[in-house]
Amino acid sequence: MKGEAWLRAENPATVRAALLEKPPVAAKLLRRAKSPVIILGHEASVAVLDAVVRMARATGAPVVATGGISAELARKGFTPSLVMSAMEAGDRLRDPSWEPVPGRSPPDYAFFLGIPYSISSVIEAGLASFARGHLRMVSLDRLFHPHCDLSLPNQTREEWEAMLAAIAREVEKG
Amino acid sequence: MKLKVTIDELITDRLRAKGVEFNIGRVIEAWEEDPGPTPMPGIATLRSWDRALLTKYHPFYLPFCDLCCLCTMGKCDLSGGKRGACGIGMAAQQSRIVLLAATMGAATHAGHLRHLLGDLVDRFGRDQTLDLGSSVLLEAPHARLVTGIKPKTLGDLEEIAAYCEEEITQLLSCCHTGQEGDPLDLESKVLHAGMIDHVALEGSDLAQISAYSFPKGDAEAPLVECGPGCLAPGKPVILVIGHNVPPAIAIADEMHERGLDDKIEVCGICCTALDLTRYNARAKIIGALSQQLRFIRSGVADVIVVDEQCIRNDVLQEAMKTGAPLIVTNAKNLQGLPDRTKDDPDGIVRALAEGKEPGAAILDPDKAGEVAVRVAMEIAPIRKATAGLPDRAAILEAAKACTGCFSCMRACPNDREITAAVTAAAEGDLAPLAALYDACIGCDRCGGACPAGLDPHDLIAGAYRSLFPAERYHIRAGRGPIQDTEIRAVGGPIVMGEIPGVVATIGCSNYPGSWNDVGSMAEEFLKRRYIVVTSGCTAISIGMYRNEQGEGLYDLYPGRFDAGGLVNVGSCVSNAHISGAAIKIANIFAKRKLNSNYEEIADYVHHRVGAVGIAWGAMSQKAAAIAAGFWRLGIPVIAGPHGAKYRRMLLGRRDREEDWFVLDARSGERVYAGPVPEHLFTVAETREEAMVLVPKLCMRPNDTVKGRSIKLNHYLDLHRRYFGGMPEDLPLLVRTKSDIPITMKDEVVRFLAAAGWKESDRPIPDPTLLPRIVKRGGKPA
Repeated sequence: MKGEAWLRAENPATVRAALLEKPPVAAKLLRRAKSPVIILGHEASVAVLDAVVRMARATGAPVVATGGISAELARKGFTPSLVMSAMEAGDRLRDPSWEPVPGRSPPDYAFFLGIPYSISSVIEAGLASFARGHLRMVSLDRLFHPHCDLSLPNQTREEWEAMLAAIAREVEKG
Repeated sequence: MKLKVTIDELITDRLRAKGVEFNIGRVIEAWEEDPGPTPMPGIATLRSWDRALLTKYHPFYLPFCDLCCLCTMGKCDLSGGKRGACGIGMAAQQSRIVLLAATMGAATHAGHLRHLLGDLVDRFGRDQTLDLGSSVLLEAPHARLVTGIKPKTLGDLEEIAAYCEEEITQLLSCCHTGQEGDPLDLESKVLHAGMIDHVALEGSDLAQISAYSFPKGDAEAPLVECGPGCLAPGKPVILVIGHNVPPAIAIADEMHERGLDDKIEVCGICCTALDLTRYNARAKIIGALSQQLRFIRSGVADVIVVDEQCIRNDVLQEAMKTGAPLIVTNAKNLQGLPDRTKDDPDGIVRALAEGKEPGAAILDPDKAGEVAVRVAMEIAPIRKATAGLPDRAAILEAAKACTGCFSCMRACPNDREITAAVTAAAEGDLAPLAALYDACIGCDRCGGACPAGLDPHDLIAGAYRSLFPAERYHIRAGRGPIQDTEIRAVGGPIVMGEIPGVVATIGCSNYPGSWNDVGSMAEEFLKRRYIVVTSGCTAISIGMYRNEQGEGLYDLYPGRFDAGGLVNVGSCVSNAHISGAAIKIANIFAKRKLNSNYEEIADYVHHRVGAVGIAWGAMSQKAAAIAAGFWRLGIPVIAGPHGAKYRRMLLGRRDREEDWFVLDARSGERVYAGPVPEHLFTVAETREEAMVLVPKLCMRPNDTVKGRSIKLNHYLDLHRRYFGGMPEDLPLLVRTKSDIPITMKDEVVRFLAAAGWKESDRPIPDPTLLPRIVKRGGKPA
């Protein structure tokens, strides 16, 4: 069940995300992306926020905070680059000229996590069709997301938090 | 009106005849306003208006499924830019599915209108006057605006229904293989379906309010009882489910005629229940759609009567499990039962009461009412012991079979922690199961998925059942339309922005979290002196919410259409009164012509009436059609997370200045008006996100400085509370320093200065997207 859509009825179409199980591989994707962006939703726990902040600080990747998670980030002393809804973020990502941070290149990699499955799965399905050619998608979510290019497997919350902490450590190693 | 002309002798150049007789089936009388440019618009008549909206609000497609399975050349994989065998691409396919959904929704409402009219014309006659009371002279804003008909009788509504049916047929045909292939033209047709939908909704409510003397815009409509705990124990119970109220009214009448008002409990789920309480305030509402399965399985109902829409497809099987006979009353939902419409009631009653037949189709509302009442009285004493939700001992025993495979969670649309709760129950703790009760939408997918044969849905409801008696609430019966006098009173403050907005919390009960979400959102905006309007299952859920003091919102807030009012207009069909109120503002307050003048009225509403819909649990195709009706008027809608599965958003880009220009009707000049309202359709991830969106989506280009200041005050306050800090789009929303809320002036000024904000030197425009609206002397750029 690691690499299956969490919701059994979810239709992954004819292409399914590659399974991303090793923290060093995920870290390498974050580090080597020319212009990564992290789309972070409200389902992130405190431990997940810690990991995301570490990843963002180590790579300089802008964080787009959705669903009110920006308030939690603020309590950690971290200011996201943008506060908007997940749907708006998805809409912007399909635009190859969109710059989350003015003056920086448009994203080539988008990393998603913490957004409710019912929203993120269809945003990813949309981007798979309408942002192909300029964007690759990686799910760092607790659940497997078939429409991304790569996705973490289905995990328990504890496993997920440990995985993200491990990815953050790898990213910080440089 | 029918017309018959008899001519004794007719002589022309070519004809000489005697006893000539003309019969004209119907004549629609003209009314005082001259017809505008678009009477009875066809599927492409308002295309340019739709394009104007869609230039600002771009479709963002969300393929819920990457395949097209509609024809035998498929399945076709449309992902990654591929096209189907017919040539369709992903964008057009998604908009086609949206059109299909909206058309199904509009067809369902138009079908309901036709069915209802059939029943009412049979009972009251075609010439039955439409009467919404002396305070509602503008009785049918949608019909007048779209069709140019000012309906006076039930018969006039038949003309309106015929127009809707023609348009729906054309719209459905556009979904066929090899038809419309342009996504934006498909979107235009979605908006057309929405507009038609509201015409049909309005017709239905107009007919039933007039025929059954429902409240006529009565802000003091009675408070009625709601919740499973409101049923008196020991009485026979008749449960009605659906949306078409005549059979339920026939039940109430039959009870009354037989002197059984105090002897039987008649209660309901969904809109039939809401409409029944508009007729008879003694009837009770069990709950929203999410309560359907658990209440049937509770075994409390002795007889179940269904009509149409939102009825579980397995209702017969579920009714049979509890020994409750099922009476179906509508040809759209026969459940395989024999048609007993023409049979003697005595025979039907015997067959059902003695359990010889599990149910019957009775398509005559009066006969269905009689049979339901008689069967309930006969069967209740002998049926009491059957079925029901599991008790504590049964739950503890059943839970031991759980293997912890997570299949229930992988079927749950809200990914609730069912497995852990069942595991806890196996160890003797039912609290985690009971805690899932509010969040469970009652779909029972978990039950179907469990390889061990458990039904977590029942375990959840069973763990909670000891709390059922406390589930007693109040809801104000649906009041129907907004009075013309109310519109005169609030039209100015709404258009000027001094009433910060109208928030319509509507739709189904497919909530992502507890039903308390909609109650807490409503309370937030009531406290802020918005006008909160509601209908349907959401109106019921708001009734089932209690604030921190344990008070219900309908007890606390008045039902008037004014700042701080909580306005329950009624059932799904009553949604037309919400959009109708916006139209009335344009007509009654602003004196814009109504007759067949859709574009101008929509243009007015879009730019001036600060209204927004929240469809937090929207589930159905009907909800899609209702939303589309708001979109065509330029009114934004926010859906809950599951709304993303409607497959398409309509999103604005505030960072694209070029999208936000309007014509100033005073000069014809093309001017920047700011990104308001920013979106036409979007989803919110959390209720907090929805609450921050509401004040922003209530902003309009025409806001006065005072109005914009009030709206910004709410936006900034909610943003700070739920998101932390100032919103990054603030510089786009503050036009001049006068817009800045006085209580936050220093902080906002500092923020704006840091963002490089420049004060606009232009006056607030008289905004329009229609060149023909530009006043004489001004020329459109």
